[in-house]
Amino acid sequence: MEAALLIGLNAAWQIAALALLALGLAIVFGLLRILNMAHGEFVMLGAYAHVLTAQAGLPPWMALPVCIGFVGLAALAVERLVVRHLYDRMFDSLLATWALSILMREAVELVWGRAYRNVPLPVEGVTQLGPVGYPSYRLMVIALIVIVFFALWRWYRRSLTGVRLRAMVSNPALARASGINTARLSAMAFVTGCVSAGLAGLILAPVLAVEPNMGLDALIRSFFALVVGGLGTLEGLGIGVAVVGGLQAGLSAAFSQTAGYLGVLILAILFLWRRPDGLYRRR
Amino acid sequence: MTKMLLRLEDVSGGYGDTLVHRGLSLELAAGQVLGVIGRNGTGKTTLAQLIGGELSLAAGRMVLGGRDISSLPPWERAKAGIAVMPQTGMVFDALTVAENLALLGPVTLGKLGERFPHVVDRLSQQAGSMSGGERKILGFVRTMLSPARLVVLDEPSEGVQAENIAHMQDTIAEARAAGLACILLEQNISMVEALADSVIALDSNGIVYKAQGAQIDRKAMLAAISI
Repeated sequence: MEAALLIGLNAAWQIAALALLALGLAIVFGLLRILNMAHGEFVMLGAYAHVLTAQAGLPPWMALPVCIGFVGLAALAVERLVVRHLYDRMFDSLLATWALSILMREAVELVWGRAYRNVPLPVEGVTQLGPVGYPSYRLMVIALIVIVFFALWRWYRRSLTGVRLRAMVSNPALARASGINTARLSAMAFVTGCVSAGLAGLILAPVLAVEPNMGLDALIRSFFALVVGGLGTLEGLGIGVAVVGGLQAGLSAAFSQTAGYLGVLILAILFLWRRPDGLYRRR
Repeated sequence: MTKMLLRLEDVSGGYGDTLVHRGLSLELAAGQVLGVIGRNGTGKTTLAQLIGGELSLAAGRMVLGGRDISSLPPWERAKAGIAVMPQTGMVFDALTVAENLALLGPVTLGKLGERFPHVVDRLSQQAGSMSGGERKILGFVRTMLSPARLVVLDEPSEGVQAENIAHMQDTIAEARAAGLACILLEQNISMVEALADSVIALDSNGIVYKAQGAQIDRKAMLAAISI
């Protein structure tokens, strides 16, 4: 009973962390058809917001506005200078954002060096859940992800901006002819996706090794989740992170962490080979 | 003297380096219907895209209500008062009928709801699951409900049953009487004949027939678009 509860909690944590990491990639690909290869580097920039905040002598809670401002401005610059010119050119945008990811890694290394950074947990301690004690911070993050996903899904389905976004995805030409400024909406979607990635980095920094190359792992895991769930929808993202996160947690508990990574890799290869649209197909 | 709403002055445009229209000029006053006829591939859809801003002008000038709109993007032209119903992709397939209409802001279907009751009956249906004719009608209803001064309708009657074509004609006639200008790009000569105050026929050389009012002649129109 105790072991089962612990495995369940670990699976919920893996799924929540993966959902947080993959959300930005899903937003940018789902709305703009751009596979942002620099997604992981925006996660990394978000994590470095802690470092920036500490260096500026600001209190730790200021890392949140610093992250939003820092990553938001970087994303806006990338959208204006690079991505805006590559909408509808999926392969070109993939290459451009890949090059950008290298530049961003090198720039961060130049400023802050290669050293690993430790970010202290904002909430220490363990919460007792029956017979099992589980880190309070992880439980808070799991609850936060559930609330954010539900709110985002409702907003996307019910709000007028959500309808406009879906209209733009469904029929960009008619959206433009209907008075929707698709250039502004696309920029907003890209910046939102990147800031979401940055916030994932900010929130997960205390449990990750913060260093310039940390984004690679984030990109690969996010991509695997989207491949399994289906690229481009919140529903696909939900299914993908549940399957991939659950599988990884299960295999890690039963065998080892390496077995968990291997299982996810094999699953992603099988999906790319046999079912490239993933489990949930956009209607 | 009638005040012109839309003026195209020596307009050239097309797809990249391939020009479909060269030096095209036309005028349209408020409360008038211009019928544009022509075989497939003579540039009717290209004309709609040039007016709506989906394609950029290679040369010339486009003026709406005294304002030069030549370089405005499509969404600015929509705000300036141009509503375009494309020949294909005239609705948002992924949205419900209600969401397709909600994008226009608060609207009342009124007479359009009486004429096209299936639009009212299927508000929660996804537009992409409707038949081709039904999607045409929804596209038509969306366009006619938009707060426009000029509507550009690209083959609205294609695939629509006769009874609903008659309803479309009644709707356009009423809107015209209320001051709306309309460019009707059609292969349905009867619809053009019933509504148009002036007609042009296009072929690969540009405008090959032009008539207005009593001069509009069915035989001449058919001759102009015959192979």
